[in-house]
Amino acid sequence: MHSLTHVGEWLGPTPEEAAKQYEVIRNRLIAILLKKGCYDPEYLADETINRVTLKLPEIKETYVGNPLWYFISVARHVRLESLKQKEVYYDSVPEPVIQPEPDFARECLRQCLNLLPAEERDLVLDYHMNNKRAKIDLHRRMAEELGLSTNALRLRIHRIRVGLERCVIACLNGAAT
Amino acid sequence: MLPRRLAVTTDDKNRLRQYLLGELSDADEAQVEVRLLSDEAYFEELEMVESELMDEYVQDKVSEDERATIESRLLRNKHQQQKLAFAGTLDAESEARAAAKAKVVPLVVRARKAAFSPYLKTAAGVIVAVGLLFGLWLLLGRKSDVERGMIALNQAQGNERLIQSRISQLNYAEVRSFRGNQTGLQDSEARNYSERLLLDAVHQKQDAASYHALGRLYLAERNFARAREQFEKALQKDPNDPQLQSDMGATLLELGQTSDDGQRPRYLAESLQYLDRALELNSSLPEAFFNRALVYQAMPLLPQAKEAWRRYLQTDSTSPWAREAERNLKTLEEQEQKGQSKRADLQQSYLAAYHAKDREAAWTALKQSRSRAAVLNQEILSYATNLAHHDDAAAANYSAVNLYRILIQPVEQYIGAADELCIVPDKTLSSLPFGALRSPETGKFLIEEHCVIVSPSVNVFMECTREAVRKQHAGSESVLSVGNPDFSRPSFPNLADLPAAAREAEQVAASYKSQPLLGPKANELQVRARMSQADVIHFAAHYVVDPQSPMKSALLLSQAGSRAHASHQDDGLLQAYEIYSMKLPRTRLAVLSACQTGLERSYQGEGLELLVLLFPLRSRLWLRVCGRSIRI
Repeated sequence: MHSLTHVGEWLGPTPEEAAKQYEVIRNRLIAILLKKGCYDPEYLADETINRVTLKLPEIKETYVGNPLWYFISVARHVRLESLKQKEVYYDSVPEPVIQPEPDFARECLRQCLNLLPAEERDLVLDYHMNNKRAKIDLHRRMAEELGLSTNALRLRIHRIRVGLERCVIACLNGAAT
Repeated sequence: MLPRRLAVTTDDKNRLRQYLLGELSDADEAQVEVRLLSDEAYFEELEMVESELMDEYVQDKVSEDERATIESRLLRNKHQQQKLAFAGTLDAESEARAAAKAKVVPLVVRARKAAFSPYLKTAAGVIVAVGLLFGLWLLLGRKSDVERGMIALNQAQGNERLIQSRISQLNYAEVRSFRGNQTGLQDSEARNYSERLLLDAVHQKQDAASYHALGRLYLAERNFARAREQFEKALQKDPNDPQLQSDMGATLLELGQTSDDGQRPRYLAESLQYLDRALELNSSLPEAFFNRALVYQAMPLLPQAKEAWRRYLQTDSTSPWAREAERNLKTLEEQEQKGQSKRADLQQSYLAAYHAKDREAAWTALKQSRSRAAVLNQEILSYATNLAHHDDAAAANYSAVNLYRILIQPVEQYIGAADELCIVPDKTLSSLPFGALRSPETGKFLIEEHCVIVSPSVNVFMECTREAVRKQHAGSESVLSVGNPDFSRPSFPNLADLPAAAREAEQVAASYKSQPLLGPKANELQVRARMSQADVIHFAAHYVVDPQSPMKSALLLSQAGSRAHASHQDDGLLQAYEIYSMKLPRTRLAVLSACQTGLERSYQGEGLELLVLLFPLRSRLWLRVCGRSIRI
């Protein structure tokens, strides 16, 4: 915690902000590495922060500019190193995309939809109906009825979807254990 | 440099899509990533763009190149694959919904044109479903969602209940004996229907009745954490509903029964508080009587449990609940007869072995009564509860003597008559007021025979003693004594007034020929001002622990000014971090007499112990007795 506090202090002025900043950076690094196809994003994010922490005493006083650039730079190096190490074992044989049983996934979704208020349930299902041209008109109509812009509606739907997604994934993982 | 939210443009959205598809240069990619670390709105936009990309993938609306890239970048790990599975499932469900909507209108027209239309079955199904719903509506009449939800819940429970406790407004049902991993209420359809109604009620009304009803559902199906959450919300809206207090007590009882992380005594003690409150609000509430008897049984405080069952049967002697109460009472009486003699034998065996310095035999004796910690925990909890409730002086005295025998008597030979005793308690022993233990030989309390100091560690004791010597000065001591402050009742509706604490503060102040700060005068501004001038500080007040942020745990005080415009220096909360930042150059002794400290929580050493450590006393610390002030 001592060294992590130093990392946080490099980016934030108070101990409370330091703790928050550490969490934010770690979680965002994990998300970024996930989306770049890394197999073990938590490990790589922690390795990034460890390396920044070790280097901090040397660079802190003289570093100029946004410290986040340094984090990203180290993260990119860490990722490249991991690709080189794992190249032989993983990159030549990509993992198959494993999908759960459709019926079971539907059941999980229905259970999770039941946990939503009726209005949000209808909103998220209607929003994701398929047809391209009708979809655009539908979204505009839905936004008007709610008194929102289409962007605001999109954001609202996304937030409902995030909760629903977490619920369904938890349901799928629960069955797997 | 905490995350900010900046405006996100259409260009940003397109760029993020390119980022996800790996179409940006290294430099541009790095620029995007730096912004992702610091801009919340931008990060959220990335998540949205990714979801939309997955939707397009599932709907087969991406090019071949994009498909290949998505599969090689976005779908290489399990988490991302699960997100894709979700996207596919959501798409399928939305399509089915769209198809169902599209079929409703042409249904009537097609039925006329073709008798053998494949949509006839769907039409018939819709009509039947509508008919059933209409029938159900007639059955349930114009009842509210909460009422209908409770009817459905009773139906879902059927003739078997999953918990021992009694839930208000639920009919009697036999307790189900569990086999294997059998879970869930009997009628799952009724259960789901009930939940839907109650969730809708909560979302529409957000009142005490709806939260309470939803909490009952979760409690009935053993989802205790969610039940507790709903009851807490209901209690914030209506703290004076006796049934609600009783149901919360039932939840904590069940949590205590299933707890295997050492929290059992705490849950049971808290349960008792809620049940007592329920009976204060309604002195004949059968659920509260029933559940209180169960709590005593679980502790186990057998004399109290038997008395509680007898008390219940006085109010209800004919219902199925009464028959269950009778069975419980009979079981306790039988157990007590068997257990009494065994316990006495084990204690004698232990003491004999200890005096003979036969460690093996001593441990064997302890192990035989389940475990060493369990014996002590039970005895400590029993003692603390009796002290807190003043229910049974004889039982409290019995525990005081018993604990003296277990903890003090074995080392009596090493304690001189004039010695000060410094005790460094571990875990549950931190809850014990050592000064109030009673010698079986002399009948005196420990504090009458020795000066008793309790310290969180030997190091703290040594350091405090050094500092106390450094701060010694000639002249009389000054005291700040604070008792029963006028804390904010709306903020802490379940905490009681402490008249005994006020008397305690008066007595302490009188010993120093000083004036105590009581009631409204015990406000944070006054207390802060006088703390720095005092050699001795004495608090007799509530102390509230914040388990998430121990530094925000607080002694509850009054407020000098308006509650609406209070600054943090006069908000009625003297928090641990505020004490930490104070300069107390004179203080040599602090006495903390916080209510029900015998049942206080210890959060990895950061409950009341944190307050102890943060008092920059560098002095002795005489630590706590029960807040209703033992008169010894």
